[in-house]
Amino acid sequence: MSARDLDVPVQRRSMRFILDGEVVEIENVDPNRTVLQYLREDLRRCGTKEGCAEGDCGACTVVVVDRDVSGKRLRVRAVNSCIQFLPTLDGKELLTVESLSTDGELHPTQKALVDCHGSQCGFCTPGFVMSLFALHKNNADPTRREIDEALAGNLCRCTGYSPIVEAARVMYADELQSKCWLGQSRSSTVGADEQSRIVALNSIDTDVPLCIEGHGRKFFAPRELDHFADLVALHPDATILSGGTDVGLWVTKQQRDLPIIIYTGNVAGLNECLVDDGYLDIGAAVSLTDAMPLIIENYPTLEELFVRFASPPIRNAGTLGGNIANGSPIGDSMPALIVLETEVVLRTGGSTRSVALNDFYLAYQRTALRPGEFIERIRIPLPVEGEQVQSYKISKRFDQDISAVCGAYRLQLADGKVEKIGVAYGGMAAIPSRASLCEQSLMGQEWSEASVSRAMQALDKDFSPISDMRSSSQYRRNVCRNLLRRFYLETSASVIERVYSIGR
Amino acid sequence: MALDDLAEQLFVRPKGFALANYIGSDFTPPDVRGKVTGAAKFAEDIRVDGLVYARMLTSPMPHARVRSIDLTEALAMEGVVGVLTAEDVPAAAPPRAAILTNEPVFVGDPILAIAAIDDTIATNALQKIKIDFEPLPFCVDPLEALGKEGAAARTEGNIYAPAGFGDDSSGPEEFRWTKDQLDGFLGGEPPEGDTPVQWSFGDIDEGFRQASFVLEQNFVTAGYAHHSMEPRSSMAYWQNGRCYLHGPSQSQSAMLPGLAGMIGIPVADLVYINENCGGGFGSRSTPYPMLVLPAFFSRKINRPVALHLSRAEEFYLGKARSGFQGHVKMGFRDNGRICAMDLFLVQDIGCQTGFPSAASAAEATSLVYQPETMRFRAIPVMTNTTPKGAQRGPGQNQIAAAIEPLLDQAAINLELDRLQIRKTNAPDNDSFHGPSQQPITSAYIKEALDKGAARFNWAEKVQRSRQRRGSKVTGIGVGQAYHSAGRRGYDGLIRIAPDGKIHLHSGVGNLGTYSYASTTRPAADLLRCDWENCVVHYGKSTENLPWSSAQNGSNTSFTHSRANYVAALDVVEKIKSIAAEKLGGSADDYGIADERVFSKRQSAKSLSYAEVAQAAIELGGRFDGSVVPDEIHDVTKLAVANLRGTGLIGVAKDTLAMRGAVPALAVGFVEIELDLETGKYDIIEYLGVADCGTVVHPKGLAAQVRGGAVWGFGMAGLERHVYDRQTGIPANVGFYQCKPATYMDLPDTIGWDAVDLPDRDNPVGVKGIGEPVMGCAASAVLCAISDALGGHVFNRTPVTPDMIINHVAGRPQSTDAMSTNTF
Ligand SMILES: Cc1cc2nc3c(=O)[nH]c(=O)nc-3n(C[C@H](O)[C@H](O)[C@H](O)COP(=O)(O)OP(=O)(O)OC[C@H]3O[C@@H](n4cnc5c(N)ncnc54)[C@H](O)[C@@H]3O)c2cc1C
Ligand code: FES
Ligand code: FES
Repeated sequence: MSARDLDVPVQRRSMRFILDGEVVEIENVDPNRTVLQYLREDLRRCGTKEGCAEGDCGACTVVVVDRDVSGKRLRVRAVNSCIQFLPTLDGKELLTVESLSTDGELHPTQKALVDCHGSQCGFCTPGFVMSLFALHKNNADPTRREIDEALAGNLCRCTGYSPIVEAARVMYADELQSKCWLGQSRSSTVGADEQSRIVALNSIDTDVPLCIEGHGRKFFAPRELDHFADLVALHPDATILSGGTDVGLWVTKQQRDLPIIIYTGNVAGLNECLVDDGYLDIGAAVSLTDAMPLIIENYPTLEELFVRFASPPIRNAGTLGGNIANGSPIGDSMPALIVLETEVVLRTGGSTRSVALNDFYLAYQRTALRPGEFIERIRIPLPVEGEQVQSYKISKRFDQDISAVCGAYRLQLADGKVEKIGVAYGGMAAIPSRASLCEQSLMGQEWSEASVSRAMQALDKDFSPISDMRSSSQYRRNVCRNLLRRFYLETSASVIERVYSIGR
Repeated sequence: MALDDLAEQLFVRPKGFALANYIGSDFTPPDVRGKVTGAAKFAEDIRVDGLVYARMLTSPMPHARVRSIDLTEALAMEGVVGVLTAEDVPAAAPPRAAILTNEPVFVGDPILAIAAIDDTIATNALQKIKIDFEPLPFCVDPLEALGKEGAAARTEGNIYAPAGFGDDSSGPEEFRWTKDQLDGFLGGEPPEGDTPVQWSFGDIDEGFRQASFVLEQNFVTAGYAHHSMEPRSSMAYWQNGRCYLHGPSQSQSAMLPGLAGMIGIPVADLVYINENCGGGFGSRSTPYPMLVLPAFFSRKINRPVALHLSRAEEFYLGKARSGFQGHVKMGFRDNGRICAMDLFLVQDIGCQTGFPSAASAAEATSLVYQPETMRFRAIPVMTNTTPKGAQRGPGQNQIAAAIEPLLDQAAINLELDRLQIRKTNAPDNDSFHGPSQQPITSAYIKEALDKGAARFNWAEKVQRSRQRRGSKVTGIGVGQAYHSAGRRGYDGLIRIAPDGKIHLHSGVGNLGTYSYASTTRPAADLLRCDWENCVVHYGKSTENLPWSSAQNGSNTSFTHSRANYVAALDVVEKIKSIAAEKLGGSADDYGIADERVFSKRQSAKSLSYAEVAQAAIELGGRFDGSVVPDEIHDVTKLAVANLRGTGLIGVAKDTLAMRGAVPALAVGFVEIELDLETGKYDIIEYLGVADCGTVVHPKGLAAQVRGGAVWGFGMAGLERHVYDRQTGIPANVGFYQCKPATYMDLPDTIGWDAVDLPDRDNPVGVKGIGEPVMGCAASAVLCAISDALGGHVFNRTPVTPDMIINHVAGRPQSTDAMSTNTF
């Protein structure tokens, strides 16, 4: 331990969380151990299943309860325990399928699945139970759309899903059970169940940063932004961990050893989402689930993009910061954020700099981040009157899939002429990037069939996509052009249906 | 009364012999509660004292020979307790699956296993093993392997064509086509080369001469993994010379002789526990090497050993559907009747024995389309890809996907209605099938088409076909599929205990269809007893389970409703005989109701089942299981031996009449909206209708029809193997790469229905259904895609957005016509 680590007067060496109403305190935790391994191997609590160990199937879904950034409201979230590192549970409550039935009495979620014949081989069932439980606690009266979204991310090979959807309705029939923990659904009042849980969570939280050493590895979970910045500067080789939906797989799939992990999740300064000075200002550690409503409120046309991003449990953990930093050429948020002229605020130690997201990517999986530097905030300009924004994700499956092509468009017209245009794609090159020639060909032109056709040609010069598992280069070229045309049709007079219609 | 006489009775169904109580009604299976609370134990959840964890080192190459292995560093690691290599397990005669091998034949083939006190140590120990391979020639495309220059997947040969299913004597052979023959076929010409497998009926040349329209087409259907949700795990330990084995399989009793044989012990020394199986879909219906690996390892290191496969290993070792590269030529009369059918299939059987899917495809073709004349030819070719096996409708579903769109093409050409052409060719109760034109037990596919068409509003929907909405176009499709769905000759075992409880012993597996329970309900029905007073025994050989069929091939409902039925008949006969013995008169004087036997003339003269059971123990002999029928299987005899003297034992082998194959048939109706700019489509509405005989368990059936539909959607548009030709490495291993349809890919509702007409050779009228409900959905979607595109047929599964976009843009496809790899 270096002197700098000890600058912070007190650090906790053991982690604490609540399980079945009891406080669990563990020392010397291996920071690379997942919650699922801990449950199944250490506790021999085997109800939670491992179907894939890569966030892909939902069999391992558990519910994590914590307080939001205000500390006054609960967050009840289904997450994939197979890629969550155990120390991230510190200060939270964990619920697994075993936590639900009391005195042999099934929870309404469980009862509904039994009554609706929603479990066949049963291997996916614990995951569905927990996703449904999260819905039950978050929402007193879900719409079909909300049910759909709550179930997404859980694969079932047996039932054809219909009986599970039915169970999601039937589970609300039991009037005696308290349903939503969050007061009345979507209300601003704190419910009684919510309050008691907040009190319990407060009791295990001492605002002291966590520093765990176990199995030769370290896990830092600082609370203050300055402390976080110091740690990252001090350990430039450390792995910055946010939601772990990319990092978790490095361990479970690639068997990588992560000797030092610095966790963003408990840093208050990275967890805020606000509107500030003409920007949506999103802390790098804000989960996609928490960032989505703010973005969609301002850019409603981006809703489908976010609904189709991974799955709810992945979005509950994963962050916008992680998506941007990971720098995958097919990351879904980037094309839209690029056309919106998003800036990322980067910080090293005490100093910050702001970089346009478009300039952030240098080459395949290489970003502008310097050693010891991290993403502090993501700043998305607020919408401008009259501009039109859209992003289309093209993948084989609706959700839980990687884009073959993801296109984003932003258009401002003045007297029928293009005053401002942003066109960016993922999946077309080694990095997510703007289609500059296409943009140039449109600038100042009529927004017309003819100019869009020329711009479609220009796209051919902007990109030379490769063929891979997801699609042929030919398909990418074709669809990249067609999506621009679709944007044109959607923004011009002719009405056209969307590729997917959310709301089913 | 002799069993046969009772059987006679049951087929005429005398008055007052109504089977209604438990047939056609839903019930809550006893084990479902554990599944929702997490209490249900899968093999990987079992922990015993001293348990160690095994991890396997698998081949990184598609075909190689191990030159040397250095384990020094791995074995020196703290916590490592032992190693199991190919030398420790029996060798397998090629192309049979080896437990461990020094000549791996696919990427992922297990070479050795290391055990350690925890899973992480075992995983880390693998990294410390130094292993040297000699790479050997390999091939991943069957047509390449068929050509003169292609590498053979096995050193011993390039094809494997056993004399029949289960033939143990044959091995790989060399079988090649000339360059001209191969080039011709690759170029889209009809297949000219020889084939090791063929059969025919009728004069096919004459059939084609009589045809007024002939359709000829090459096609490719992709192979792909099952991806059951549970990656398989097994655990074994030895106690007093007996092997205790936990592991998932679709079947229960049917596993015992094979497993015991693989381990090398008598059946009596094997305790096999398989309470829950996290999905099978054909991949876990018979004994497989990974299941017994821990038994060998445990015997070697004298500790309980668990082996838990990763998702990737489940992909490598969990078997896969065979791909077909085929050709079909069909001759139609003016009215759409098929007068000639010529089917040729190259089947990718992977690197082991595979499954005779091509033969199944041919049988299905002969049944569903009832061609007047037919020829079938096939070549089962080996490739260095993951082992192939049975997967939900193995062969039957691929062929449905290949042929159904062609029926539509014929309908267009002959100006016939698409439903009508199907009905014109459909089988009925008087139909025959297969090379020797065997009879069938029942077929109500016409009724299924009519019922479905009415519910789906076919007539109105087809008016919308090809309508444009912006860039989207509507497609309407109907598809059909078949699988045989029943067997005979298995045993039923029932015990009435002196406390009056009725114990129903079910030797079928528990893979989530709940047929281990639903097939016992006819027995409860016949015994006139309360279901709540019945105890179903299943899932562990210690539960004294009778000999049962492997739970595969959609057969369980038919097969075991019969086996349980004959056991119940035996119980009824014994109850009445005991009553006669105790209360006087003859057995015929007695009737049963409300768990009592009573005199038909003097109803006060009666005994409770509890009293009857007590009397059975006193009487002994055949009544309490001391004497058993000769014809029952040894596994059943073992079970009865454990139960003898504990109550009234009813045990019998199903020797009831059965006139031929039992057809499970299904039809699917679908509406899609296809986007011409992205090649993507949404499934707007789907309806599946089953001909599964009498509906015994409505919710169970609904789950089959809907679950099967989801599989069908995957086959039509999403799931496929892709192999790198240069390295032999599979490109899509995990769920997100293999892309089974997610919940969000489905229509809002998946409708289901059933014809609900009884099969003629099952006492309660039921047939199985698990498999065709997939093929009909896949083919319906493919027909709908063709419909949306003005009749264009891709001759492929899956049809991907890439192909659709190329077609719409009028560009050549991105891959060759007969290529197995697609985008
Ligand atoms: C099943 C599954 C489905 C997925 N589907 C999609 C999808 O549809 N679309 C998509 O785009 N992505 C998808 N992903 C990828 C992933 O979920 C996203 O990239 C997510 O946004 C990553 O966020 P995270 O917080 O989990 O990142 P982490 O895994 O915590 O980190 C990712 C990377 O960013 C770095 N990092 C994290 N925070 C910072 C920071 N503040 N400053 C600097 N570096 C940082 C980490 O060190 C790491 O290199 C999927 C992943 C899974 C497992
Ligand atoms: S085990 Fe599949 S998502 Fe976690
Ligand atoms: S019940 Fe088997 S995977 Fe869902």
